[in-house]
Amino acid sequence: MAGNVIDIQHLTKFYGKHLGIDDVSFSVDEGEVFGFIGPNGAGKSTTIRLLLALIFPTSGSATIFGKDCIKQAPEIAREVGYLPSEVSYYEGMKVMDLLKYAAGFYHKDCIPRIHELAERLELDLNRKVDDLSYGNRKKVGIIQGLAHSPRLIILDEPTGGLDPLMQRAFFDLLREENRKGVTIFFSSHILSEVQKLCDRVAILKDGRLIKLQKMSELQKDRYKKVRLVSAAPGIDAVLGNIADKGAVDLKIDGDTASFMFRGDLNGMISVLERLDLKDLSIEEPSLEEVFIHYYQ
Amino acid sequence: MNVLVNEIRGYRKSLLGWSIGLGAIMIIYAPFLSTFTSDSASMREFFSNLGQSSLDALGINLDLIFGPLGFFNYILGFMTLAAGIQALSLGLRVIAEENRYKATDFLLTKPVSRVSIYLQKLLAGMICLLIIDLVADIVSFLSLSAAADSSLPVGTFVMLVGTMTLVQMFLFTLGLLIASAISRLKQTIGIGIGLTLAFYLMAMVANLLGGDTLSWLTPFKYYEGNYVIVHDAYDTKYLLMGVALTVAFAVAGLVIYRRRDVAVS
Repeated sequence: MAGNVIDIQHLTKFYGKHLGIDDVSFSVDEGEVFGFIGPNGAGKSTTIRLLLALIFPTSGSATIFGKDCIKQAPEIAREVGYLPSEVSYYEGMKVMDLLKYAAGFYHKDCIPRIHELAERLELDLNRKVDDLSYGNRKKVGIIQGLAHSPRLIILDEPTGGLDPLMQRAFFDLLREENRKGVTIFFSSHILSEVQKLCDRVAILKDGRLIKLQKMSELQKDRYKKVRLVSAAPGIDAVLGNIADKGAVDLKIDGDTASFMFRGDLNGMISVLERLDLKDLSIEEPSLEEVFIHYYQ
Repeated sequence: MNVLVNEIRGYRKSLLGWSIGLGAIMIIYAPFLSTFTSDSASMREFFSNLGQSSLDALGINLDLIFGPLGFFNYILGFMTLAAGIQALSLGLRVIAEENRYKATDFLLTKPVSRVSIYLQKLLAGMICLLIIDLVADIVSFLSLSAAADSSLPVGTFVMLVGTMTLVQMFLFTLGLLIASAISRLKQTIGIGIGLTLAFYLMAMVANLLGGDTLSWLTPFKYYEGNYVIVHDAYDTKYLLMGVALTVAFAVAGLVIYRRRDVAVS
Protein backbone atom coordinates (compact mmCIF):
# COMPACT_ATOMS: atom_id res chain seq x y z
CA MET A 1 0.00 0.00 0.00
CA ALA A 2 1.19 3.49 -0.79
CA GLY A 3 2.39 5.68 2.06
CA ASN A 4 0.46 8.37 3.82
CA VAL A 5 0.44 11.78 2.20
CA ILE A 6 -1.47 13.40 5.05
CA ASP A 7 -1.22 12.15 8.58
CA ILE A 8 -3.21 13.90 11.30
CA GLN A 9 -2.74 12.93 14.94
CA HIS A 10 -5.02 14.12 17.75
CA LEU A 11 -5.36 17.53 16.17
CA THR A 12 -7.23 20.02 18.34
CA LYS A 13 -7.94 23.67 17.79
CA PHE A 14 -9.67 26.11 20.07
CA TYR A 15 -10.33 29.70 19.04
CA GLY A 16 -10.18 31.13 22.54
CA LYS A 17 -12.96 29.16 24.26
CA HIS A 18 -14.71 28.26 21.04
CA LEU A 19 -13.98 24.77 19.75
CA GLY A 20 -12.76 24.41 16.19
CA ILE A 21 -11.90 20.71 16.09
CA ASP A 22 -11.33 18.20 18.86
CA ASP A 23 -8.88 15.30 18.78
CA VAL A 24 -9.15 14.60 15.07
CA SER A 25 -6.93 11.80 13.72
CA PHE A 26 -6.86 10.24 10.26
CA SER A 27 -4.58 9.77 7.32
CA VAL A 28 -4.83 10.07 3.57
CA ASP A 29 -3.00 7.63 1.30
CA GLU A 30 -0.98 8.57 -1.71
CA GLY A 31 -3.05 8.70 -4.90
CA GLU A 32 -6.32 8.71 -3.01
CA VAL A 33 -9.28 11.03 -3.52
CA PHE A 34 -10.32 11.73 0.02
CA GLY A 35 -13.55 13.47 0.90
CA PHE A 36 -14.00 15.45 4.00
CA ILE A 37 -17.64 16.08 4.69
CA GLY A 38 -19.78 17.62 7.35
CA PRO A 39 -22.34 20.34 7.77
CA ASN A 40 -21.30 23.98 7.84
CA GLY A 41 -19.38 24.77 10.99
CA ALA A 42 -18.30 21.14 11.54
CA GLY A 43 -14.61 22.05 11.45
CA LYS A 44 -13.69 21.20 7.87
CA SER A 45 -12.10 24.54 7.09
CA THR A 46 -10.38 24.57 10.47
CA THR A 47 -8.72 21.24 9.67
CA ILE A 48 -7.66 22.42 6.23
CA ARG A 49 -6.31 25.71 7.59
CA LEU A 50 -4.31 23.80 10.17
CA LEU A 51 -2.84 21.60 7.44
CA LEU A 52 -1.84 24.73 5.53
CA ALA A 53 -0.37 26.48 8.60
CA LEU A 54 -2.82 29.35 8.20
CA ILE A 55 -3.76 28.71 11.82
CA PHE A 56 -1.85 26.98 14.59
CA PRO A 57 -3.02 23.91 16.51
CA THR A 58 -3.86 24.03 20.20
CA SER A 59 -2.54 20.48 20.45
CA GLY A 60 -1.79 17.48 18.27
CA SER A 61 0.14 17.41 15.05
CA ALA A 62 -0.16 16.92 11.33
CA THR A 63 2.29 15.98 8.62
CA ILE A 64 2.13 16.20 4.85
CA PHE A 65 4.63 14.11 2.89
CA GLY A 66 6.13 13.25 6.28
CA LYS A 67 6.93 16.90 7.02
CA ASP A 68 5.54 18.86 9.92
CA CYS A 69 2.73 21.11 8.73
CA ILE A 70 3.75 24.03 10.89
CA LYS A 71 7.54 23.84 10.98
CA GLN A 72 8.03 22.89 7.33
CA ALA A 73 5.07 24.71 5.82
CA PRO A 74 7.00 26.45 3.00
CA GLU A 75 8.62 23.18 1.89
CA ILE A 76 5.26 21.41 1.93
CA ALA A 77 3.66 24.26 -0.01
CA ARG A 78 5.90 23.54 -3.01
CA GLU A 79 4.01 20.29 -3.55
CA VAL A 80 0.53 21.43 -2.57
CA GLY A 81 -2.13 23.20 -4.58
CA TYR A 82 -4.88 24.84 -2.57
CA LEU A 83 -8.25 26.17 -3.61
CA PRO A 84 -9.96 28.09 -0.80
CA SER A 85 -13.73 28.23 -0.48
CA GLU A 86 -13.76 32.00 -0.92
CA VAL A 87 -11.47 33.16 -3.69
CA SER A 88 -10.32 36.72 -3.50
CA TYR A 89 -7.27 38.45 -4.90
CA TYR A 90 -5.45 41.75 -5.05
CA GLU A 91 -7.57 44.19 -6.95
CA GLY A 92 -6.17 46.20 -9.80
CA MET A 93 -4.16 43.24 -11.04
CA LYS A 94 -4.73 41.51 -14.34
CA VAL A 95 -5.47 37.79 -14.11
CA MET A 96 -2.25 36.93 -15.93
CA ASP A 97 -0.16 39.17 -13.66
CA LEU A 98 -1.71 37.55 -10.61
CA LEU A 99 -1.06 34.06 -11.97
CA LYS A 100 2.53 35.03 -12.84
CA TYR A 101 2.97 36.38 -9.32
CA ALA A 102 1.64 33.10 -7.92
CA ALA A 103 3.85 31.07 -10.28
CA GLY A 104 6.88 33.12 -9.26
CA PHE A 105 6.91 31.35 -5.90
CA TYR A 106 7.63 27.98 -7.50
CA HIS A 107 10.92 27.25 -9.12
CA LYS A 108 9.47 25.97 -12.35
CA ASP A 109 7.98 27.27 -15.57
CA CYS A 110 4.23 27.27 -14.98
CA ILE A 111 3.26 29.50 -17.91
CA PRO A 112 2.38 26.77 -20.47
CA ARG A 113 0.21 25.02 -17.87
CA ILE A 114 -1.53 28.32 -17.01
CA HIS A 115 -2.47 28.81 -20.66
CA GLU A 116 -3.62 25.22 -21.00
CA LEU A 117 -5.83 25.41 -17.92
CA ALA A 118 -7.23 28.82 -18.90
CA GLU A 119 -8.24 27.40 -22.25
CA ARG A 120 -9.97 24.41 -20.72
CA LEU A 121 -11.81 26.52 -18.17
CA GLU A 122 -12.55 29.24 -20.71
CA LEU A 123 -10.98 32.05 -18.73
CA ASP A 124 -9.73 35.27 -20.32
CA LEU A 125 -6.32 35.97 -18.80
CA ASN A 126 -6.25 39.60 -19.89
CA ARG A 127 -9.13 40.74 -17.72
CA LYS A 128 -8.73 42.54 -14.45
CA VAL A 129 -9.36 40.51 -11.33
CA ASP A 130 -11.82 43.14 -10.04
CA ASP A 131 -14.05 42.70 -13.09
CA LEU A 132 -14.46 38.95 -12.72
CA SER A 133 -17.64 37.24 -11.62
CA TYR A 134 -17.50 34.91 -8.63
CA GLY A 135 -17.38 31.86 -10.89
CA ASN A 136 -14.52 33.31 -12.91
CA ARG A 137 -12.59 34.14 -9.76
CA LYS A 138 -13.01 30.54 -8.79
CA LYS A 139 -11.46 29.54 -12.10
CA VAL A 140 -8.48 31.79 -11.33
CA GLY A 141 -8.27 29.94 -8.02
CA ILE A 142 -8.31 26.57 -9.75
CA ILE A 143 -5.59 27.61 -12.18
CA GLN A 144 -3.33 29.06 -9.51
CA GLY A 145 -3.87 25.93 -7.43
CA LEU A 146 -2.97 23.55 -10.25
CA ALA A 147 -0.46 25.50 -12.37
CA HIS A 148 2.62 24.27 -10.53
CA SER A 149 1.56 20.61 -10.93
CA PRO A 150 1.28 19.81 -7.21
CA ARG A 151 1.42 16.28 -5.80
CA LEU A 152 -1.39 17.05 -3.37
CA ILE A 153 -4.44 19.16 -4.11
CA ILE A 154 -6.44 20.54 -1.19
CA LEU A 155 -9.88 21.87 -2.01
CA ASP A 156 -12.17 23.61 0.43
CA GLU A 157 -15.78 23.58 -0.83
CA PRO A 158 -14.49 23.88 -4.39
CA THR A 159 -17.57 23.94 -6.59
CA GLY A 160 -19.54 26.87 -5.16
CA GLY A 161 -20.06 29.46 -7.88
CA LEU A 162 -19.28 27.11 -10.77
CA ASP A 163 -22.11 26.29 -13.16
CA PRO A 164 -22.84 22.57 -13.74
CA LEU A 165 -20.87 22.45 -17.00
CA MET A 166 -17.84 24.03 -15.36
CA GLN A 167 -18.20 21.73 -12.37
CA ARG A 168 -17.95 18.81 -14.75
CA ALA A 169 -14.92 20.25 -16.49
CA PHE A 170 -13.36 20.84 -13.10
CA PHE A 171 -14.07 17.30 -11.88
CA ASP A 172 -12.64 15.92 -15.13
CA LEU A 173 -9.52 17.93 -14.46
CA LEU A 174 -9.27 16.54 -10.96
CA ARG A 175 -9.75 12.97 -12.19
CA GLU A 176 -6.98 13.49 -14.72
CA GLU A 177 -4.66 14.77 -12.04
CA ASN A 178 -5.59 11.83 -9.85
CA ARG A 179 -4.77 9.39 -12.65
CA LYS A 180 -1.31 10.93 -12.77
CA GLY A 181 -0.92 9.95 -9.13
CA VAL A 182 -1.92 13.22 -7.49
CA THR A 183 -3.61 12.90 -4.11
CA ILE A 184 -6.78 14.94 -3.66
CA PHE A 185 -8.19 16.11 -0.35
CA PHE A 186 -11.56 17.61 -0.77
CA SER A 187 -14.01 19.14 1.68
CA SER A 188 -17.69 19.61 1.02
CA HIS A 189 -21.05 19.80 2.66
CA ILE A 190 -22.72 18.39 -0.43
CA LEU A 191 -22.85 14.62 -0.26
CA SER A 192 -23.47 14.00 -3.96
CA GLU A 193 -20.39 16.05 -4.87
CA VAL A 194 -18.25 13.84 -2.69
CA GLN A 195 -19.92 10.70 -3.98
CA LYS A 196 -18.93 11.55 -7.54
CA LEU A 197 -15.26 11.74 -6.85
CA CYS A 198 -14.05 10.21 -3.63
CA ASP A 199 -12.56 6.85 -2.67
CA ARG A 200 -12.89 7.39 1.03
CA VAL A 201 -14.59 9.91 3.28
CA ALA A 202 -14.16 11.30 6.74
CA ILE A 203 -17.28 12.69 8.33
CA LEU A 204 -16.94 15.55 10.72
CA LYS A 205 -19.57 16.90 13.06
CA ASP A 206 -19.28 19.54 15.78
CA GLY A 207 -15.51 19.47 15.47
CA ARG A 208 -15.21 15.72 15.91
CA LEU A 209 -14.48 12.96 13.45
CA ILE A 210 -17.45 10.65 13.70
CA LYS A 211 -16.88 8.28 10.84
CA LEU A 212 -14.19 7.28 8.40
CA GLN A 213 -15.24 4.90 5.67
CA LYS A 214 -14.89 3.86 2.08
CA MET A 215 -17.24 5.54 -0.33
CA SER A 216 -18.61 2.14 -1.35
CA GLU A 217 -19.68 1.50 2.24
CA LEU A 218 -21.26 4.90 2.52
CA GLN A 219 -23.18 4.21 -0.69
CA LYS A 220 -24.47 0.99 0.87
CA ASP A 221 -25.68 2.95 3.85
CA ARG A 222 -27.33 5.46 1.66
CA TYR A 223 -30.69 6.78 2.75
CA LYS A 224 -33.52 7.84 0.47
CA LYS A 225 -36.06 10.38 1.47
CA VAL A 226 -39.54 9.11 0.60
CA ARG A 227 -42.69 11.14 0.54
CA LEU A 228 -46.06 9.89 -0.69
CA VAL A 229 -49.70 10.87 -0.93
CA SER A 230 -52.35 8.16 -0.96
CA ALA A 231 -55.61 8.45 -2.89
CA ALA A 232 -57.46 6.12 -0.53
CA PRO A 233 -57.62 5.84 3.27
CA GLY A 234 -55.84 3.09 5.22
CA ILE A 235 -52.34 4.41 4.81
CA ASP A 236 -51.51 3.58 8.45
CA ALA A 237 -52.34 -0.07 8.02
CA VAL A 238 -50.29 -0.51 4.86
CA LEU A 239 -47.22 1.31 6.15
CA GLY A 240 -47.47 -0.15 9.65
CA ASN A 241 -44.71 -2.69 9.07
CA ILE A 242 -42.51 -0.76 6.66
CA ALA A 243 -39.96 -0.24 9.43
CA ASP A 244 -39.10 -3.93 9.00
CA LYS A 245 -38.03 -3.20 5.42
CA GLY A 246 -35.68 -0.40 6.48
CA ALA A 247 -37.77 2.75 6.95
CA VAL A 248 -37.16 5.10 9.85
CA ASP A 249 -38.73 8.27 11.10
CA LEU A 250 -42.15 7.45 9.63
CA LYS A 251 -44.55 10.37 9.76
CA ILE A 252 -48.19 10.05 8.73
CA ASP A 253 -50.44 13.04 8.42
CA GLY A 254 -53.86 12.24 6.94
CA ASP A 255 -53.26 10.94 3.42
CA THR A 256 -49.58 11.97 3.42
CA ALA A 257 -46.65 9.96 4.70
CA SER A 258 -42.91 10.51 4.75
CA PHE A 259 -39.96 8.46 5.95
CA MET A 260 -36.27 7.84 5.43
CA PHE A 261 -35.40 4.54 3.83
CA ARG A 262 -32.29 2.44 3.78
CA GLY A 263 -32.39 -1.13 2.51
CA ASP A 264 -33.72 -3.12 -0.42
CA LEU A 265 -35.73 -0.75 -2.59
CA ASN A 266 -37.73 -3.65 -4.04
CA GLY A 267 -38.92 -4.53 -0.55
CA MET A 268 -40.15 -0.98 -0.10
CA ILE A 269 -41.83 -0.90 -3.50
CA SER A 270 -43.65 -4.15 -2.76
CA VAL A 271 -45.21 -2.47 0.27
CA LEU A 272 -46.05 0.73 -1.59
CA GLU A 273 -47.71 -1.32 -4.33
CA ARG A 274 -50.54 -2.00 -1.93
CA LEU A 275 -51.38 1.73 -1.80
CA ASP A 276 -53.39 3.69 -4.30
CA LEU A 277 -50.73 6.36 -4.82
CA LYS A 278 -51.57 9.90 -5.88
CA ASP A 279 -48.00 11.17 -5.59
CA LEU A 280 -44.61 9.73 -4.79
CA SER A 281 -41.15 11.27 -4.53
CA ILE A 282 -37.91 9.52 -3.68
CA GLU A 283 -35.08 11.99 -3.11
CA GLU A 284 -31.49 12.19 -2.01
CA PRO A 285 -31.50 13.51 1.52
CA SER A 286 -29.32 16.50 2.27
CA LEU A 287 -26.20 15.88 4.28
CA GLU A 288 -27.91 17.45 7.28
CA GLU A 289 -30.77 14.96 6.99
CA VAL A 290 -28.32 12.09 6.70
CA PHE A 291 -26.65 13.29 9.85
CA ILE A 292 -29.92 13.62 11.70
CA HIS A 293 -31.08 10.15 10.77
CA TYR A 294 -27.89 8.21 10.67
CA TYR A 295 -25.07 9.74 12.58
CA GLN A 296 -26.76 10.97 15.70
CA MET B 1 12.17 38.51 -3.72
CA ASN B 2 8.80 37.92 -5.36
CA VAL B 3 6.87 39.62 -2.55
CA LEU B 4 9.26 42.57 -2.40
CA VAL B 5 8.95 43.29 -6.11
CA ASN B 6 5.18 42.93 -5.98
CA GLU B 7 4.89 45.31 -3.02
CA ILE B 8 6.97 48.00 -4.70
CA ARG B 9 5.10 47.52 -7.95
CA GLY B 10 1.79 47.93 -6.13
CA TYR B 11 3.02 51.11 -4.47
CA ARG B 12 4.58 52.75 -7.49
CA LYS B 13 1.83 55.30 -8.11
CA SER B 14 1.83 56.43 -4.48
CA LEU B 15 5.61 56.48 -4.58
CA LEU B 16 5.57 58.91 -7.47
CA GLY B 17 2.89 61.07 -5.85
CA TRP B 18 4.62 61.33 -2.51
CA SER B 19 8.04 62.01 -4.06
CA ILE B 20 6.64 64.85 -6.12
CA GLY B 21 4.44 66.13 -3.29
CA LEU B 22 7.19 66.30 -0.67
CA GLY B 23 9.69 67.70 -3.15
CA ALA B 24 7.22 70.40 -4.24
CA ILE B 25 6.90 71.77 -0.71
CA MET B 26 10.42 73.17 -0.76
CA ILE B 27 10.14 74.37 -4.35
CA ILE B 28 7.16 76.45 -3.22
CA TYR B 29 8.69 77.75 0.01
CA ALA B 30 12.35 78.29 -0.98
CA PRO B 31 11.67 81.66 -2.68
CA PHE B 32 10.45 83.00 0.68
CA LEU B 33 13.92 82.51 2.15
CA SER B 34 15.18 85.82 0.77
CA THR B 35 12.21 87.66 2.32
CA PHE B 36 13.06 86.04 5.63
CA THR B 37 16.74 86.87 5.59
CA SER B 38 16.69 90.29 3.90
CA ASP B 39 13.91 91.67 6.05
CA SER B 40 14.73 89.81 9.24
CA ALA B 41 13.97 92.76 11.54
CA SER B 42 10.32 92.96 10.58
CA MET B 43 10.01 89.16 10.43
CA ARG B 44 11.52 88.96 13.90
CA GLU B 45 8.93 91.47 15.09
CA PHE B 46 6.16 89.45 13.42
CA PHE B 47 7.26 86.24 15.17
CA SER B 48 7.73 88.03 18.50
CA ASN B 49 4.14 89.22 18.29
CA LEU B 50 3.00 85.60 18.11
CA GLY B 51 4.11 85.22 21.71
CA GLN B 52 6.72 82.92 23.15
CA SER B 53 4.31 80.06 23.82
CA SER B 54 3.26 79.88 20.15
CA LEU B 55 6.90 79.95 19.08
CA ASP B 56 7.67 77.18 21.57
CA ALA B 57 4.77 75.07 20.43
CA LEU B 58 5.86 75.38 16.79
CA GLY B 59 9.47 74.74 17.74
CA ILE B 60 10.60 78.07 16.29
CA ASN B 61 13.97 79.32 17.48
CA LEU B 62 14.40 83.01 16.55
CA ASP B 63 18.17 82.67 16.61
CA LEU B 64 18.06 80.04 13.91
CA ILE B 65 15.04 80.60 11.70
CA PHE B 66 16.55 83.47 9.75
CA GLY B 67 19.39 81.32 8.41
CA PRO B 68 18.80 78.99 5.45
CA LEU B 69 19.04 75.81 7.57
CA GLY B 70 16.80 77.21 10.31
CA PHE B 71 14.29 78.28 7.69
CA PHE B 72 14.47 74.86 6.05
CA ASN B 73 14.05 73.15 9.39
CA TYR B 74 10.83 75.07 9.97
CA ILE B 75 9.42 73.83 6.65
CA LEU B 76 10.89 70.38 7.25
CA GLY B 77 8.66 70.12 10.33
CA PHE B 78 5.58 70.15 8.11
CA MET B 79 7.21 67.86 5.57
CA THR B 80 7.93 65.43 8.39
CA LEU B 81 4.31 65.51 9.54
CA ALA B 82 3.12 64.64 6.03
CA ALA B 83 5.86 62.07 5.53
CA GLY B 84 5.05 60.59 8.95
CA ILE B 85 1.42 60.07 8.01
CA GLN B 86 2.55 58.41 4.81
CA ALA B 87 5.08 56.19 6.60
CA LEU B 88 2.67 54.97 9.27
CA SER B 89 -0.02 54.33 6.66
CA LEU B 90 2.49 52.44 4.53
CA GLY B 91 3.52 50.28 7.50
CA LEU B 92 -0.11 49.42 8.14
CA ARG B 93 -0.80 48.90 4.48
CA VAL B 94 1.99 46.46 3.63
CA ILE B 95 0.78 44.06 6.32
CA ALA B 96 -2.98 44.70 6.09
CA GLU B 97 -3.02 44.65 2.29
CA GLU B 98 -3.91 40.96 2.12
CA ASN B 99 -6.78 41.51 4.59
CA ARG B 100 -8.10 44.33 2.50
CA TYR B 101 -8.27 42.16 -0.58
CA LYS B 102 -8.96 38.96 1.39
CA ALA B 103 -5.86 37.57 -0.27
CA THR B 104 -4.16 36.29 2.87
CA ASP B 105 -4.87 32.65 2.00
CA PHE B 106 -3.38 33.23 -1.42
CA LEU B 107 -0.07 34.54 -0.12
CA LEU B 108 0.39 32.42 2.99
CA THR B 109 -0.13 29.10 1.22
CA LYS B 110 2.75 29.77 -1.15
CA PRO B 111 6.15 28.17 -0.57
CA VAL B 112 7.56 31.12 1.30
CA SER B 113 7.90 31.45 5.06
CA ARG B 114 6.02 34.09 6.99
CA VAL B 115 9.36 35.44 8.22
CA SER B 116 10.47 35.93 4.64
CA ILE B 117 7.16 37.55 3.66
CA TYR B 118 7.38 39.96 6.59
CA LEU B 119 11.01 40.85 5.92
CA GLN B 120 10.33 41.38 2.23
CA LYS B 121 7.42 43.67 3.09
CA LEU B 122 9.60 45.53 5.59
CA LEU B 123 12.35 45.95 3.05
CA ALA B 124 9.93 47.00 0.30
CA GLY B 125 8.46 49.67 2.59
CA MET B 126 11.88 50.96 3.58
CA ILE B 127 12.99 51.13 -0.04
CA CYS B 128 9.86 53.13 -0.91
CA LEU B 129 10.45 55.52 1.99
CA LEU B 130 14.08 56.00 1.04
CA ILE B 131 13.23 56.67 -2.60
CA ILE B 132 10.64 59.28 -1.58
CA ASP B 133 13.09 60.89 0.82
CA LEU B 134 15.95 60.89 -1.63
CA VAL B 135 13.85 62.69 -4.24
CA ALA B 136 12.46 65.15 -1.68
CA ASP B 137 15.93 65.74 -0.19
CA ILE B 138 17.62 66.41 -3.52
CA VAL B 139 14.84 68.71 -4.70
CA SER B 140 14.87 70.53 -1.36
CA PHE B 141 18.64 70.93 -1.41
CA LEU B 142 18.66 72.29 -4.93
CA SER B 143 15.80 74.74 -4.37
CA LEU B 144 17.21 75.90 -1.04
CA SER B 145 20.70 76.30 -2.52
CA ALA B 146 19.27 78.37 -5.35
CA ALA B 147 17.52 80.66 -2.88
CA ALA B 148 20.39 80.96 -0.38
CA ASP B 149 23.21 83.51 -0.65
CA SER B 150 25.93 81.19 0.53
CA SER B 151 26.54 77.50 -0.04
CA LEU B 152 24.81 75.12 2.37
CA PRO B 153 26.76 72.86 4.73
CA VAL B 154 25.96 69.51 3.11
CA GLY B 155 26.72 67.46 6.23
CA THR B 156 24.30 69.39 8.41
CA PHE B 157 21.66 69.36 5.67
CA VAL B 158 21.92 65.58 5.38
CA MET B 159 21.57 65.23 9.15
CA LEU B 160 18.55 67.52 9.06
CA VAL B 161 16.72 65.58 6.37
CA GLY B 162 17.82 62.46 8.25
CA THR B 163 15.51 63.53 11.08
CA MET B 164 12.55 63.12 8.73
CA THR B 165 13.72 59.69 7.59
CA LEU B 166 14.24 58.54 11.17
CA VAL B 167 10.73 59.65 12.17
CA GLN B 168 9.35 57.84 9.12
CA MET B 169 11.17 54.63 10.01
CA PHE B 170 9.84 54.83 13.56
CA LEU B 171 6.25 55.29 12.38
CA PHE B 172 6.60 52.76 9.56
CA THR B 173 7.67 49.96 11.91
CA LEU B 174 4.98 51.01 14.39
CA GLY B 175 2.53 50.54 11.52
CA LEU B 176 3.92 47.06 10.85
CA LEU B 177 3.43 46.15 14.50
CA ILE B 178 -0.13 47.49 14.72
CA ALA B 179 -1.21 45.76 11.51
CA SER B 180 0.38 42.50 12.65
CA ALA B 181 -1.40 42.69 15.99
CA ILE B 182 -4.82 43.60 14.58
CA SER B 183 -5.29 40.74 12.18
CA ARG B 184 -8.56 42.00 10.71
CA LEU B 185 -7.34 45.54 10.05
CA LYS B 186 -8.48 46.86 6.69
CA GLN B 187 -8.56 50.66 6.89
CA THR B 188 -5.09 52.13 7.12
CA ILE B 189 -5.07 55.79 6.15
CA GLY B 190 -7.39 56.86 8.99
CA ILE B 191 -5.18 55.30 11.64
CA GLY B 192 -2.13 56.71 9.84
CA ILE B 193 -3.46 60.26 10.01
CA GLY B 194 -4.92 60.00 13.51
CA LEU B 195 -1.96 58.46 15.23
CA THR B 196 0.64 60.62 13.50
CA LEU B 197 -1.30 63.78 14.33
CA ALA B 198 -1.55 62.61 17.95
CA PHE B 199 2.24 62.22 18.08
CA TYR B 200 2.68 65.62 16.44
CA LEU B 201 0.35 67.38 18.88
CA MET B 202 2.12 65.63 21.74
CA ALA B 203 5.38 67.11 20.48
CA MET B 204 3.80 70.59 20.44
CA VAL B 205 2.59 70.15 24.00
CA ALA B 206 6.03 68.88 24.99
CA ASN B 207 7.54 72.01 23.43
CA LEU B 208 5.17 74.18 25.42
CA LEU B 209 5.68 72.46 28.73
CA GLY B 210 9.39 71.93 28.35
CA GLY B 211 11.11 69.11 30.21
CA ASP B 212 11.80 65.58 29.04
CA THR B 213 8.86 63.50 30.21
CA LEU B 214 6.46 64.02 27.31
CA SER B 215 9.29 64.18 24.81
CA TRP B 216 10.03 60.51 25.40
CA LEU B 217 6.58 59.62 24.10
CA THR B 218 6.69 61.11 20.62
CA PRO B 219 9.12 60.47 17.76
CA PHE B 220 8.76 64.07 16.63
CA LYS B 221 10.81 65.07 19.68
CA TYR B 222 13.52 62.43 19.22
CA TYR B 223 15.26 64.03 16.28
CA GLU B 224 15.02 67.79 16.59
CA GLY B 225 16.32 69.92 13.75
CA ASN B 226 17.22 72.90 15.93
CA TYR B 227 19.44 70.64 18.03
CA VAL B 228 21.09 69.32 14.87
CA ILE B 229 21.77 72.85 13.54
CA VAL B 230 23.36 73.97 16.82
CA HIS B 231 25.31 70.81 17.67
CA ASP B 232 25.86 69.32 14.22
CA ALA B 233 24.80 66.04 15.79
CA TYR B 234 21.71 64.17 16.99
CA ASP B 235 20.82 64.15 20.66
CA THR B 236 22.32 60.77 21.53
CA LYS B 237 19.88 59.69 24.21
CA TYR B 238 16.87 60.36 22.00
CA LEU B 239 18.57 58.89 18.95
CA LEU B 240 19.22 55.65 20.82
CA MET B 241 15.67 55.56 22.14
CA GLY B 242 14.19 56.20 18.70
CA VAL B 243 16.31 53.60 16.94
CA ALA B 244 15.77 51.05 19.73
CA LEU B 245 11.99 51.48 19.51
CA THR B 246 12.06 51.32 15.72
CA VAL B 247 13.90 48.00 15.86
CA ALA B 248 11.70 46.74 18.72
CA PHE B 249 8.50 47.51 16.78
CA ALA B 250 9.81 45.71 13.71
CA VAL B 251 10.85 42.64 15.73
CA ALA B 252 7.63 42.54 17.75
CA GLY B 253 5.62 42.81 14.53
CA LEU B 254 7.56 39.88 13.10
CA VAL B 255 7.03 37.73 16.19
CA ILE B 256 3.26 38.32 16.03
CA TYR B 257 2.99 37.96 12.26
CA ARG B 258 4.86 34.67 12.33
CA ARG B 259 2.41 33.03 14.72
CA ARG B 260 -0.91 34.68 14.13
CA ASP B 261 -3.98 32.73 13.11
CA VAL B 262 -5.41 33.73 9.78
CA ALA B 263 -9.17 33.76 10.15
CA VAL B 264 -11.38 32.86 7.23
CA SER B 265 -11.74 36.11 5.34
